[in-house]
Amino acid sequence: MVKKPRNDLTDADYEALSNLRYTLRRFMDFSASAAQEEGLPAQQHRRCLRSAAIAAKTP
Amino acid sequence: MPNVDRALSETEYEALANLRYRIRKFRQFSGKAAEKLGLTRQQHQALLTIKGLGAGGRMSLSALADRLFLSPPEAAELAASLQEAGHITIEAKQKRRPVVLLTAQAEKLLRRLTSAHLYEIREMAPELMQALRMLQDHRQMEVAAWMQ
Repeated sequence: MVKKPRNDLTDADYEALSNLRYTLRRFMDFSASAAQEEGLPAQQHRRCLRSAAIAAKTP
Repeated sequence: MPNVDRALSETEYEALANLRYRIRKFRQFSGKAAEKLGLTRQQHQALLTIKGLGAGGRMSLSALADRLFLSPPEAAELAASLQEAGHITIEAKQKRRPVVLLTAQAEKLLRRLTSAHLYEIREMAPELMQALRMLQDHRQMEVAAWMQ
């Protein structure tokens, strides 16, 4: 079945999407400030996290 | 308080890295979709916030600033750019907080963008939820252990 974008949007759709975006912004904002407090720029934190995830997987 | 310095498991690092990757990917998609319609990422966020969290397509400028994590001058600058592009009107009655209202043009743009976003979210939802669930399960276990 081919899925098409819906055109019949309700107020609840807009509200849900706004809330989701707000939560994502809050999380990313928290994450950036937490990394900065530890003296890590956001991009470096991302790299560290990725390395840690890979390292944790390596036996 | 649960110990923030405790050792983290492999699954947690992986789930967190995964979650952030999905969020970045979604934001990248969103930024591109907005750009195609001539909006900056922040302008799109502002319009969506007014539509989704305001009342009847209107919201006070200070509430908008709160929702976007912007300072009052930053929010005022953003609102001015949206007004200039014809996406909102700013109602500033004397002694009252300025209120921003969506124009019909903005409503039209939002319909197109929101349809595309909901489609994208439904596509990525299973992976996003899996990453979230994994982190939540771990957190619940941690809080339960701390309470005992």
